[in-house]
Amino acid sequence: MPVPAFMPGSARPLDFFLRLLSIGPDTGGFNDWRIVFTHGLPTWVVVFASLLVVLVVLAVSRTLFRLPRRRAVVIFLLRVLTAGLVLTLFLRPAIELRAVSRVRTRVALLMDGSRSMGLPTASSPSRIEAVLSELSKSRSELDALAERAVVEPYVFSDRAQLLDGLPSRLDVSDGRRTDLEQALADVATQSAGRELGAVLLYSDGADTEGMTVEMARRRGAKVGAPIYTFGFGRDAAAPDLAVRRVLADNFAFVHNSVAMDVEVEVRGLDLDQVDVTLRKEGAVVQTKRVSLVEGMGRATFEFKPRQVGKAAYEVSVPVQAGETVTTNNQRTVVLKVIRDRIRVLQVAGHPSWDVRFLREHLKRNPNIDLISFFILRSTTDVQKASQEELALIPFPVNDLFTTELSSFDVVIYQNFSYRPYRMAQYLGNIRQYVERGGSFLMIGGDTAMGDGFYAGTPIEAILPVRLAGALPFDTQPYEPRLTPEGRRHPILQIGEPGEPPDRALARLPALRSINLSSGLAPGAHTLLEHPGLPGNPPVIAVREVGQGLSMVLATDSTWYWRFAAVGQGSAGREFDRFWSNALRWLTRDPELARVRLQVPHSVLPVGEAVTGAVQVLGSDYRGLEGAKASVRLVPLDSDGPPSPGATGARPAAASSSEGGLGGLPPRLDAEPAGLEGLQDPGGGGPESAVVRFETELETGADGRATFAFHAVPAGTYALRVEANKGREHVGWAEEPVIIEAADVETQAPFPRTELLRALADASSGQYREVEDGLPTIVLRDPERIEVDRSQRVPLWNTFMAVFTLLLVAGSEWWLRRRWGLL
Amino acid sequence: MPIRSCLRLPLELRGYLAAAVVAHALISIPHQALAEDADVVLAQLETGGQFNPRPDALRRLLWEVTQRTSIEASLEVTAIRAEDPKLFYHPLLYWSGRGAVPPFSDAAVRALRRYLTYGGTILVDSADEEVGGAFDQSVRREMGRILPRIEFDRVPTDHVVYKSFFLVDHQAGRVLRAPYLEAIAIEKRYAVIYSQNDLAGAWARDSFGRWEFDVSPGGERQREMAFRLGINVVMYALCLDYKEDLVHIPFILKRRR
Repeated sequence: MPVPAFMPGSARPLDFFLRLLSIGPDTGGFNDWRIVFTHGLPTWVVVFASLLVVLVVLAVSRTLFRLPRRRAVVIFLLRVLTAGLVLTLFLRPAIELRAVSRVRTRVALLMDGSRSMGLPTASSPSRIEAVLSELSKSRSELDALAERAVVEPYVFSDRAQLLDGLPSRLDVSDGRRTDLEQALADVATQSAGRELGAVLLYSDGADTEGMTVEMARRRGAKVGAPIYTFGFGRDAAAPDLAVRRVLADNFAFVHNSVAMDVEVEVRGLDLDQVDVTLRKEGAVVQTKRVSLVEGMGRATFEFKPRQVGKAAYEVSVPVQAGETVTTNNQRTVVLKVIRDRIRVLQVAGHPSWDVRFLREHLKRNPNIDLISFFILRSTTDVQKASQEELALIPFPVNDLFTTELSSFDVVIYQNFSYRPYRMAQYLGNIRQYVERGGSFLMIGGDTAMGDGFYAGTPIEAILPVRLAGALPFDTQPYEPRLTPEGRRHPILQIGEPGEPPDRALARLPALRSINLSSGLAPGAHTLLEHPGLPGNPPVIAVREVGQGLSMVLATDSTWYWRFAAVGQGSAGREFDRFWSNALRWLTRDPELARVRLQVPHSVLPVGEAVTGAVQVLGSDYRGLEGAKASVRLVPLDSDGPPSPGATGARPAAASSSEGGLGGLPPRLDAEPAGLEGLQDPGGGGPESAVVRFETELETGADGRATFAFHAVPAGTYALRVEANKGREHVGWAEEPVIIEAADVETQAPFPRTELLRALADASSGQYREVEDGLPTIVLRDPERIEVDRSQRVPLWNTFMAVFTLLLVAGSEWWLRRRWGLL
Repeated sequence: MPIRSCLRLPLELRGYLAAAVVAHALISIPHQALAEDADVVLAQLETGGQFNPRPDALRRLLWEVTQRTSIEASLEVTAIRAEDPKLFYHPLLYWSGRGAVPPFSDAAVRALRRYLTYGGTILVDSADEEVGGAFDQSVRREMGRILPRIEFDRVPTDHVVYKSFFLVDHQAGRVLRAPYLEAIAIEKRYAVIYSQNDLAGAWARDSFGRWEFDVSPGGERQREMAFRLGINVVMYALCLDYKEDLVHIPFILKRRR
């Protein structure tokens, strides 16, 4: 057990004590001691032994009631003492002799060396100069502090670095970040044998790593020493309006609401309200007017992304006259829009096995949100029951084909004619829906295609086939044949992995029907055809229409590929693969794209190269060697708010940097140079309105090629690639890329005194403004004891210990005998 | 028979013949039209024993199906053995009988197991005179071989089979011996639906348009319910749990109040 130590140098009582115990060690050089137990036993053994001793004492003391009370107490106490001595000796006590020395603690003097410290204050050219000036004035207090502790000066931005001494000036141009958390962690661990007694933190508190007040409190309590923070009041802030933060998840689900919170901060400007604008790739999505209370405002944008993929969203506030930094008036984030579930609308003209097996397939897929409407009773059916006895619901034509239509990824008309339901006025909506990016699939049957009276309607205009003059529905069995396009197309990769689709198709049962068409629409492709009829009419045809896709499956007998195929020994997987492929193609599954663009970083600071890789796949989805890929970096925000670099106009930050940041951030008005690709001859010149980057690549054996664009000006760009192999247009891909103009230090350079106060409060320190000077610094543990060496002297096996035990036990025995207990 | 001879027949008999010819023509015309293009062709399982005790019943049910719903069903019923590869061209199979059924061959058991597992549906209809009769014992024995470890369960009254087209609240059939339907579920889908109330006895109608059997105890309302239940089973086989989709629920709940 540790005991209070003697003061250094007073070892005389120790020598006496040791001689008394007949130990007699050489105590020279030891100036401290403490008693320790050296038994080395587990705690539970010690506890068990203690309990055992207590029980024994209680058990043997039951006869004491025969004695007078005083004598009984004396005997009992002697027995307790004896038991205690036995137990103590069992634990093997020893004296630990120690040679200790006293060490002064250290005080970390942390100075913020980030770029925001280069901003001017009301009374100083820059914040850092205000700090250095104040430290210079406090020289005498610092010298006094150095008498009590070792003062270690540090400068920090992302990490703390020890300085040789207090500098007369500091260059903050390299301080790209402010990481208060890391800086405090650094000074807490860099000890050099000394404990941390206090921290003096000089900073504007403009942490760039997302530190909150709560995080500051936690860090302050964790440092273990008082933190004296010195910051800048609100008046010290240079005039500025900034989009301080954009809070949004980095991914969202298509067709689902996304909330994007935007924090706006203003200092030094007379503003009560400001308009915050959200743009998607240059186009205004929403504008909101935000009230500024105590310099802060918050806007929440809610919107529903309509397309899957990455999209750049830019939030901006208008530039005000007299602003110190204008590059922080906008922020851009990349939102990755993914599918939550594919929403499929299946409208069937009447129940059939084809309808049933397709529904079963779609319902089995957890990624599909299926909305089915089957016409269970036609207008000509006999009504032998009242409406109340039927489980039928009205067909919500108006809702489905107006307000809800755009929420579907795929609309399926399965053997469905619009005529009985007075839907002619909605067919145009479907055409628009497809042209704007939706997908439409018409499945055949006796009331589909031409037999569904779609010839001449807006539906025919989007179908891959022509219906005018087509022959009626044919129900003779036939074995369909793949076209060359069909063999390559992902929809018909229905075999086992690596198996040619022809072979898989050959083992499937014959189809039993076909809706005949009068030809292909322009740009359409036949994937599967009827080989036995004149003109080989298409069974499956696909087409890109505007931004959308359309597909015709001119038969209502694919269910034979499922159930009848099972009867032939198959497991019906070809049917499942066919429909999975069709849905993936109709929903533009990126995995089915034959041109893929891989960009490691969608958001880059200005000055970093835009790098990436293009992969071009063949129709068999293997890497396509020798494909030509044209990669272009096209600015998207040329008509947006001030967007340095995206247009030919000089960036606002460049002019403001001269006055406000002392050359920070890096000048953005340099001409693009050092480009690995080629500048667009039509748009790359300095006189041009749009700066473009473009390069031509040729893919290697694995179908891949890499690219890099250097010195890209700040802005929001679409990185587009278009690939061709010979005369074949393989496809294209696009990714947004954001080159951030403002470095993170100037995004929100306002002093954040609340963080500094939280750090001080949580560590029992104190917050002051820089110009208020040093307070009285209270150090934690001003002097720490360091143990240089130690020696343990056992007590349990000494003569004195044995003698004491015998004395106490003998006394108890003698008194018992005298008082007649023996 | 020569025309002259026909004319000599009693007037009443001639009237019956004429009615039969007209009725046959009326039935045959849509039948011929539907046979080629029909979406649904029902098959009847051909087993040993009395596997078709109500020969005209299915035709009548399918007639009602085509008249009352948008299903395009063929009135032609195909008798098929379980071992026949064409079994898988008929995802809905009707298995009826009266009295004991000889054990199925192993091939038939395997085929029916595959049939049910991959999406087929069997409507089993007992024409026995009593619950738990010889046919019932045969059905349970063979289903135990086809789908071992899966037992018949009683169909809950709120199951979709009771609301797939008509809202049916009561059991139906020629008789009402078992106040429930039984079923075997495979992955939540009822692959086998079993009635011991002789549904086909209520459906059966002769060529002269007369019902072949009286229904008891509910009379013609009970017969109508038997048709509705039969139509619901066909609709369930075709649409599965379509009526469980969220969009239907409020309407159905409102009508069931």
